[in-house]
Amino acid sequence: MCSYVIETKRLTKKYGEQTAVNAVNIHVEKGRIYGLLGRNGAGKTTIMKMILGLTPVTSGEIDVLGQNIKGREKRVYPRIGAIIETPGFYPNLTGTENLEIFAKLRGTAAPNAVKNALDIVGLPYRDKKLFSKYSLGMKQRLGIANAILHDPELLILDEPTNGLDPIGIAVVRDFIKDLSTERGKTILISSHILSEIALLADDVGIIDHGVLLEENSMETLKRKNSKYILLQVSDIPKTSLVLERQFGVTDYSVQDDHSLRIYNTSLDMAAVNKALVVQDVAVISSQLCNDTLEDYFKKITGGEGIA
Amino acid sequence: MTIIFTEILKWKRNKTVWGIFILTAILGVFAVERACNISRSSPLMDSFGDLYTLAFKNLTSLFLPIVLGMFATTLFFDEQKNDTLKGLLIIPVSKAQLYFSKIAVVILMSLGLCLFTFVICIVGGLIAGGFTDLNTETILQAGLLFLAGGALIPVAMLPIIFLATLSKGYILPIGAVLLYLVPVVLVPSQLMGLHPLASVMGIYPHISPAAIEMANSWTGNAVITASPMTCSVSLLAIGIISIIVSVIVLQKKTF
Repeated sequence: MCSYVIETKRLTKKYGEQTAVNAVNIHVEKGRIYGLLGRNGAGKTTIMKMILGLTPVTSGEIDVLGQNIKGREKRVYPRIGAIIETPGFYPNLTGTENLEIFAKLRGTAAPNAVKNALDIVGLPYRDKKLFSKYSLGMKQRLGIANAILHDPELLILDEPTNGLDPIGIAVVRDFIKDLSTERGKTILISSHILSEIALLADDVGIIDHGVLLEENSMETLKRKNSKYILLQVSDIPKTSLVLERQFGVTDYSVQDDHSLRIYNTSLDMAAVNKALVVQDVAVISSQLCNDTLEDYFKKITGGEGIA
Repeated sequence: MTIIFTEILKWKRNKTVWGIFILTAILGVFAVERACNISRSSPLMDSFGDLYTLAFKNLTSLFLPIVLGMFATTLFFDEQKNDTLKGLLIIPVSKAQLYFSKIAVVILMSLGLCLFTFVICIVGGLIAGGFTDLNTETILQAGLLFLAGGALIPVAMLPIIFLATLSKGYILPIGAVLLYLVPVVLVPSQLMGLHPLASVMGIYPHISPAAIEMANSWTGNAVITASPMTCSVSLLAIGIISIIVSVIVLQKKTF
């Protein structure tokens, strides 16, 4: 049995008549990075806010770290570190002073907690630079330092690479990856950038208009979107027989009445075409396809896809 | 205590606090300057009570309520503006804890400004000289008056602090501070027992003998009908209602 660190059951959020999140069931496994992928306004932040108690749940349930969070916030939240939207700090204080405030409020016992957190994200300890003078990348890193300050088991990071330059994105991505692989943290991360999620996440939940369209491991998704031969023919049953009996192909899927996908791309298509013609099957087209994850997301979200 | 301490830490390097203390010092210096320029034979400045009540009046009649209203608004609004509120709530710090810690900081600020003016009065009294009644007893009376003002004015400002928790900007609570003060300036005696700030004025004469003269000049020698008990109960009742509705409003607010 899987031990889920986060499990939502028919989680729903309505603002008046508008449904922002609709009966979402997400399952975040221990020690893995779960990427919540969707366009801006898809409902990612609302889900995270509901998990963190920042916005009330309309209906449904949330279990975090094996407990239903309702009424157990004081026990559960100290075990979570989070960044929601932009990391907020006091502009008149330095990064160290800001973290010291949060450490005091959390009752963080470790004497070097602030220094260690700053070291992990590569920010200087006891630097005189005020938060108001920080670059966006430094602000995001300080946000991550604050989220890991108390060594939480679970991290909830809402678009942590938002607004960063490519180098900053790579640096933050590496922090997050290290937190999971080296420190064993479970991470729920949201993004509207497909490539980010593809590089980071072990599991993916695709959300669109508040509905979770798919939840799967990244490995499965990648497998689903590998190379294949798209064959369009006049008779699918006869084609299936030819493929299975004459060529021993079983790794194929029927798309509709006239097309199927063959996942063994090393198949001799000239021989297949010849065999089909002999069986009186008209071959309309035969082409090698290579769908990307983006094509797949476009297809399942029914729209423009994600950057 | 930790949360109150961290509230104070947040004000490090904040120029607003320095500005408030400088303006308070200027108001105190105005009173001392009058003490230096008016003869001790004049009934206007013939006792130490005249000096400290003048300084007290300068501080508490308009300046302190305005400053506390603005300060409280900033305390609540800046957490939203800087996006720090979400970070605090997921620690988790409860909204009620957050509210009471900010109220504590407002009270500390008020007491700090009153203590600062009190010290200016003593030093100013010694500099101006000629106060034959400047002794432990009158200093104690002055101390009690400043302590009462420092503690009661924040309570009287709780309805404004409620607006600060309710609103999403500076304009409503700061505008309300000015509207809140106008009736007290115009008809203080009639509002004692009704309006929290006027009620505070009704309590002062019962704390320090020198404050009787101050209250008379405040009310234009009008007869004060409200008893100190009525004023205290009214002040307390409005304060408690304001606290309850503020906490309810904060609990319902989403971020």
